[in-house]
Amino acid sequence: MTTPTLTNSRRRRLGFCLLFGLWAVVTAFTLERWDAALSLPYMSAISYVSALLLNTIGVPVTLGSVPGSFAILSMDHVVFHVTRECTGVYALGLYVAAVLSYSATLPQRLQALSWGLPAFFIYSVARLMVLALAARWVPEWTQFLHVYLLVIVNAGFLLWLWAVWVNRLARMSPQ
Amino acid sequence: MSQAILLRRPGLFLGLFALVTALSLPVWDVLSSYYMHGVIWIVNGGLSLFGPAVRLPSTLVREGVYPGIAGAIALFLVTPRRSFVWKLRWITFLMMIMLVVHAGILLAGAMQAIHGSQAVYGSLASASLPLRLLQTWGTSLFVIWIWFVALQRHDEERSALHERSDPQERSQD
Repeated sequence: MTTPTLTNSRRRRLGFCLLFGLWAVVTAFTLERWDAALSLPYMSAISYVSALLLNTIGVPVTLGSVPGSFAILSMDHVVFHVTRECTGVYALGLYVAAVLSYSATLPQRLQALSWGLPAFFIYSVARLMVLALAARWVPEWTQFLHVYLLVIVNAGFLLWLWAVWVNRLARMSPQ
Repeated sequence: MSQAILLRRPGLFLGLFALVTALSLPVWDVLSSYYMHGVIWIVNGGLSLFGPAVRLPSTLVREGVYPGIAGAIALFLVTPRRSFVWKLRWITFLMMIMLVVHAGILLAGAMQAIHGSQAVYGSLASASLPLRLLQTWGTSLFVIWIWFVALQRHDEERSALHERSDPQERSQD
């Protein structure tokens, strides 16, 4: 027999898992449905900032695009097609789902989103820059980093960001 | 999930996750063809219900390597304060779910190609919306979801153990 507190705790944990699934589906549909309004501007902004920073540090890059589809970063010997996968927008969507599902107040959630979105943006720009620098200095690693490692690390980044937020909540909690 | 400190050192967790993923990717590169043989075997078994003429192309063994699985395994391996048995149990469960998910994606794509006018098998652009979402979000979503469920189950088991071992503290929880 469980105490009411334990039952509530269990319900909250179960609720988190169920809500995460629901919010993830909602986020996925939202980003898909309003792709032109949400994902594309995000992708363009990341590509623009990456190109700007790469040019600033002396790596010549030309920015182009296929309207409504993907951005193009052209370097000396490499051309990157910056698609949605490259921007980590799916991981960002799952981060939003995890934040909305967790038991927290509205201001706490808004706080998580207010630092999460810029953090993802900075991370995605850094990721593109690492790829561009790898293509320039260690081209044999580009495929490994591009197709495999940096795509998977997106998930680690979102869990890291989420865990930082949850830990912060735990420290602020009166318990 | 309780508001206990989830990952005491999130930075260390992220670093280990990236490191273990990087190390396991070459291993997965070797093992993925066996995994894909399993997936294709399941899908072809399903397709045989619809007629003997339809089979997935064997080239998928090389195309669909699903490197996300290496990351998924790494995620469970680097989860702190969990026993080896816990990790093994959930990695096994995860692999079974992934097998079903990937078989489902390939089967849905094949069915769409059979019944629709999709010219190129597996083409993301021409896939239906649910299938497209499953292809783009499916692996990440299921992996993270299962990880959350695994953490929550662990918390529950600990609570139950705590309750059994120290009934007096139960009311203070």
